[in-house]
Amino acid sequence: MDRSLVAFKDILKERRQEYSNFMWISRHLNPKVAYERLIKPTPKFHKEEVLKSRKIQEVIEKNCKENGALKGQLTKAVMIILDEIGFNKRITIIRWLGLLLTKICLNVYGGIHVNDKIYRIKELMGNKPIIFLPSHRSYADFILMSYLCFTYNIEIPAIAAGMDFHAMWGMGKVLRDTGAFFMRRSFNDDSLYWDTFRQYIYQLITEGDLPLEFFIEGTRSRSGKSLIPKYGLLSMVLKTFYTAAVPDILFVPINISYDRVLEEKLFAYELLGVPKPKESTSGFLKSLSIIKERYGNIYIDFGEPISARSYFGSFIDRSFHSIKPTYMQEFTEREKESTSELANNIVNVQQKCAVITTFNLIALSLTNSFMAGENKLHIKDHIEDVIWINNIVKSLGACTDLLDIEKNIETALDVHKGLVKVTSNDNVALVQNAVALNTSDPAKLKGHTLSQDTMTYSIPFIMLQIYVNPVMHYLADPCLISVIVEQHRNINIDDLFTQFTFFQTLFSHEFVSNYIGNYLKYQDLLKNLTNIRLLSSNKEEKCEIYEVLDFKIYNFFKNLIVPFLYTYYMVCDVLLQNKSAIREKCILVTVQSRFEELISARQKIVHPYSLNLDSITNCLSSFAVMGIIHREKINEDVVWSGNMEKVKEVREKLEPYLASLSSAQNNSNTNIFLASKL
Amino acid sequence: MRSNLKSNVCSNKTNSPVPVKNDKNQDAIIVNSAIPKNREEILKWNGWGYKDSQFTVKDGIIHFTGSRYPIGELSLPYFTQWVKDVFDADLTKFHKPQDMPQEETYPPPKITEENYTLLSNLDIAFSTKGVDRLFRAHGHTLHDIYTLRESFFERIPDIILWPKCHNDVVKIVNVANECGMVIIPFGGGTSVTGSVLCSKTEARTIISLDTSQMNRILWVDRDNLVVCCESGIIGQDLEREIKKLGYTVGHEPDSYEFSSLGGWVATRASGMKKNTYGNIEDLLVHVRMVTTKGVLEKNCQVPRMSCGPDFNQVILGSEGCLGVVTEVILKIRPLPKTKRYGSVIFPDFESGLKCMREVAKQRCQPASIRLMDNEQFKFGQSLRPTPGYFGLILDGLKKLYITKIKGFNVNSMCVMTLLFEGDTKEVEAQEKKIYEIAGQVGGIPAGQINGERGYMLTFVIAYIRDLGLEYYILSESFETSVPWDRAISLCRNVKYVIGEECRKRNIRHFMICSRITQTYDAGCVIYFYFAYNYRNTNNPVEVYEYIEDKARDEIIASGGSLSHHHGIGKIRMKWYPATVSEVGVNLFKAAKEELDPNNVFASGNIVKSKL
Ligand SMILES: Cc1cc2nc3c(=O)[nH]c(=O)nc-3n(C[C@H](O)[C@H](O)[C@H](O)COP(=O)(O)OP(=O)(O)OC[C@H]3O[C@@H](n4cnc5c(N)ncnc54)[C@H](O)[C@@H]3O)c2cc1C
Repeated sequence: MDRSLVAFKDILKERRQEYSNFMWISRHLNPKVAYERLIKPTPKFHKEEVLKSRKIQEVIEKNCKENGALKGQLTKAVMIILDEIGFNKRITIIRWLGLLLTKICLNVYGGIHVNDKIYRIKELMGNKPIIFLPSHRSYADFILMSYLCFTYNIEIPAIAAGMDFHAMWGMGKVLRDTGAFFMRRSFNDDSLYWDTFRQYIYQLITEGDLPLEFFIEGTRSRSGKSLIPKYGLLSMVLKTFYTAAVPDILFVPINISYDRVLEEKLFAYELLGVPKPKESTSGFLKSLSIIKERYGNIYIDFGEPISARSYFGSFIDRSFHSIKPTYMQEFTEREKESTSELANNIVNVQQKCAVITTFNLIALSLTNSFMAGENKLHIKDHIEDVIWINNIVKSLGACTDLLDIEKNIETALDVHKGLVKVTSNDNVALVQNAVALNTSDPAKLKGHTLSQDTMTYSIPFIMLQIYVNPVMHYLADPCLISVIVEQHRNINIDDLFTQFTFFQTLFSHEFVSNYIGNYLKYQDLLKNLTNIRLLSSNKEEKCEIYEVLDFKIYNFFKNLIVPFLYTYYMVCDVLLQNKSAIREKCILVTVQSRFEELISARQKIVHPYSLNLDSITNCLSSFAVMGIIHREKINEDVVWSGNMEKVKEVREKLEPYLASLSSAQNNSNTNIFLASKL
Repeated sequence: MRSNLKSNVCSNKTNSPVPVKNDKNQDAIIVNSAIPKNREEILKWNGWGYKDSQFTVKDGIIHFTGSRYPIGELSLPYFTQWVKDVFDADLTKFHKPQDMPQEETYPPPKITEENYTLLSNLDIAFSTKGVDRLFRAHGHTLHDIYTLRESFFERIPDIILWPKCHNDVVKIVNVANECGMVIIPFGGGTSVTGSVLCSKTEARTIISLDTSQMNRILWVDRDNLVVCCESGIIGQDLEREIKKLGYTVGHEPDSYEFSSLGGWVATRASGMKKNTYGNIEDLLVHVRMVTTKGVLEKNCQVPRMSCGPDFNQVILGSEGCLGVVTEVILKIRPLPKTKRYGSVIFPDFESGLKCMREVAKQRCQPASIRLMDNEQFKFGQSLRPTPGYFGLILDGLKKLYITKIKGFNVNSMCVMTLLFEGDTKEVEAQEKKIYEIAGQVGGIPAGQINGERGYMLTFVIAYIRDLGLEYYILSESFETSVPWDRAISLCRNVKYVIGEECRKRNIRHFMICSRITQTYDAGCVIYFYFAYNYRNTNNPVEVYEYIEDKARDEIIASGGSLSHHHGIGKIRMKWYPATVSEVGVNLFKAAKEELDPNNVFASGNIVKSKL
């Protein structure tokens, strides 16, 4: 996979050069639609068709019979739901927003770099439903996608948005007018609502002309890593294909990589369990103060479009659904499996399309130094580190934007000056701001009530980790291999594979991957790691034996994986302390408070990222998938229970890794690594 | 083996038209067929229909020759333009087909001396002449016609036999069964499924049993309104003769000028006017089929019975694999007093379909009701000697009304054609009802002439393929039946698939259009026409077949049937098991095994016989 930045074009460049942005936004528009219809369907038409559909009419009738409701009332209820869901399209709003966005983007972004592949995708449009599936790291994803379409004369998609936007005064309407439609959270079990929503999607796919856009990860990833995909919307979309209501659907996985994420601070708080402030318009306006800051570059890349027709090819027999009306059809087991497989594939392609920015490399270097217990990091050493890391990352298949080294680093540091700074004696350090906690109500905390001190100390590290995480898709597997090989010394290829697969499975929610248990990929990886001389291999009795060769690389990998290993270990420990069922909240609180103790003791190096709730819940989910524990909802609480023997086994597997690590380091001076802002 | 055997036309003793008494001691009607026994006298050897009727290019303009059809002797400038626009056809590049083979170039018939003697002593007309064998070696698929024009069949029948009655057929079947010969029944040869093709690997002697000389109307039963015919009678003869008596059968497949009663039964044919008269299975009251085990028939002439599974249904659609249909009793109706055409235009296909659906729901279908999509509508409009694609339908004020006032889009509107038959009052009432329903979904009546044209085109359209092949344009149609709710998606899906397949192959000039040709309570019938310019394509027929296969896959995926009336033949065998289930296949095989253990009827249609 050889990707280079040459294929990317900065769409802001023309905006910077042109005489009048206004002229541009008011240009004649004849955007490319996904599916040309003889008569362009209006948003209102879609809603009417949904209401008229056999499905909804039958639902209404059934409801009337069963609950004695009046037909008129139910019809009205459906109309209200449709008004809540349905997108709208007001081109004047789009144009004005286009102008506003241009002004903002020109201020805050260095560039919005879009891969030329977009032209090919545009060529494929016109005669079938097309679905844009961007990665979701920021609210900006929405806006950028629409802006991109506006720029390339592609019809702005109908975009699935969460209800939180809907609630925002004014904002909800603006988004709706630019093509957003709204979807309630899945735990809502109002069947009239879901029938209507499903029918609405069915309508948009089978009779609509716009591209559809939604986030397969379901929500913004706070950590910067991919999330396990959600299947709900994808199933609704695919149903039209499985039942042959449409001949094909084109899925376009898209990656949006940010130099700096708008919500970095918020995410850091959320990862620690401080609830996300409810989206409110004033909050949004406040976030407009963002305009004063700089956010560096954005890279948007497209995966090879996946045609449902060729993807499912002959192994899905659509004629299965030929008997019984289309709207009464249920998914077959095979279709369900295929749906989730496709979803995983889409996420995988999104990962492959990432661009690793210079600041990601900087974050890796800083984290590595911190974990290595270094007191300070001179800018010169730092630059060297970054170059060294860049090479590693690239040899593992990533595409990075580090070209003009000194300049890129300087710009990146400038963009992130709120987080990292170069001190007067040319050391690179994290910026620490005192965190005022009095604003947050402890009852609202998801986990443990962390002290002000812990928060102040941890937040910068967490923010930094948000920039390490996007690279973890390339690094997680090498990290795991490294620590296993070093732990087991001279391990043969098959045992290594067994261990490796165990860890991949354990981290299946942490490091979402499509290749768990894939021997071919594993062999490739080993080859790669031998090539970069991390490992050496010897043949012993016809069997490959591996050991660590380059300890610098090894340490780098080890340092990156330890915070995760630590959290998972702690989760096991906490689970084991409770003989019976345990409330999820209790797990979160206990794990966090234990780490808080360790961190404030400053006895050994504990990365504050170990505190993050995301990893704790990932760990629980993995355990659940592995059949170790299971989740139950008792009253309002989520409760976990299960096979403690198996938990113990996992802990025993993890223990040696941590033992060998933590004993070695004893550094009380970690604070030096931080610089207070003032 | 013998070769260069002479035809024995003269030796047939029953050749002179002596009035024949039938079972009921009435005089049978001896039908003087429009198609002579020597088909080559008036039929093309390598194309569709009559020799004197064809499209030709004169001074760069397309004409239709002959006076058999209403567009005969006319020049067609708009059609010429349409062909150029749609297919980028170059009418200066005539692609000459090969000449008819010389008699001595035919492969010698595979037949032993004994068998030859046996057959020639049956007192049944026969021939081993090459031209006779070639004429009966094929049907009318694109593949068949292309082969005639460009190459030769790998296997053709060895001998033609012309039985003149049921008993002749019994004799032939017995001899063939005893002496290890193969029989392929041949009616009008209009099959579009490869069903009359000889199996390439067949080593036995292949007899083509031509039913054309077994075409009497044996008796007419006016009390019960039925007629008993021999199976070789062809559509136009049957209608002409029965009309003289004041009746009609009303079975009009588009091929009815040439196709035979036996062929209809053997393929489960469907006629244009089935709404009034019924499909072949509705018309059929009684049928005799000669098998190697004897004659399969019922002992009474009743309208319906409950006596176990209906074996008529085993005969219907048997595609010549189980035996020979010899005599059929069909329903007849008094001739309708009024026959009127009509047409309605709709803003788009969807609203046209809605109208058809509603008509079916109210069960007020006239004799025929069809809906052409926009492409086909334009094509139809081009086939006339007046200006503009829309000139006729949209004359003067009307055009203004339709496009300006009603806002119809010329690139989406489509036309529904209607044929009413019955009492004058009935017809009027029907017309009123249909136009009312049409009006509710935005349809506007567009007159009788447009309707009539539509139906005339049905017969002429078959001639176009030959013209196309002369200018590197290949065309073929295929059909399906589908529940109402899936009709639109099926059409869209199939068109999409064909479009994509063409693009993949860099076929830039092609047309895919569709037409709803029949309606039922629970669904409708869809016809697709696909044509493309193959100038830049190697193996055009293979490519075509590949694309039709893809289209068929998509039809089936979209809830359509493998075939509504053309049948399985050889070209659709691979989908048959999935269509009828494994049990169904075995049931068919068991019937075949029982009726024809030696596989005399080895045309190999529907399922591969193991012999
Ligand atoms: C231009 C065109 C239009 C057509 N339109 C229609 C249409 O509107 N509706 C429709 O249903 N079909 C249509 N067809 C298809 C075809 O005309 C029908 O399948 C017709 O029934 C075939 O009759 P045939 O006499 O020509 O049979 P053939 O082509 O001679 O034979 C067809 C099959 O029937 C068998 N067969 C023939 N006679 C007998 C017999 N006496 N006993 C046992 N088996 C026999 C043959 O062995 C063969 O398997 C059309 C074909 C063409 C070329």
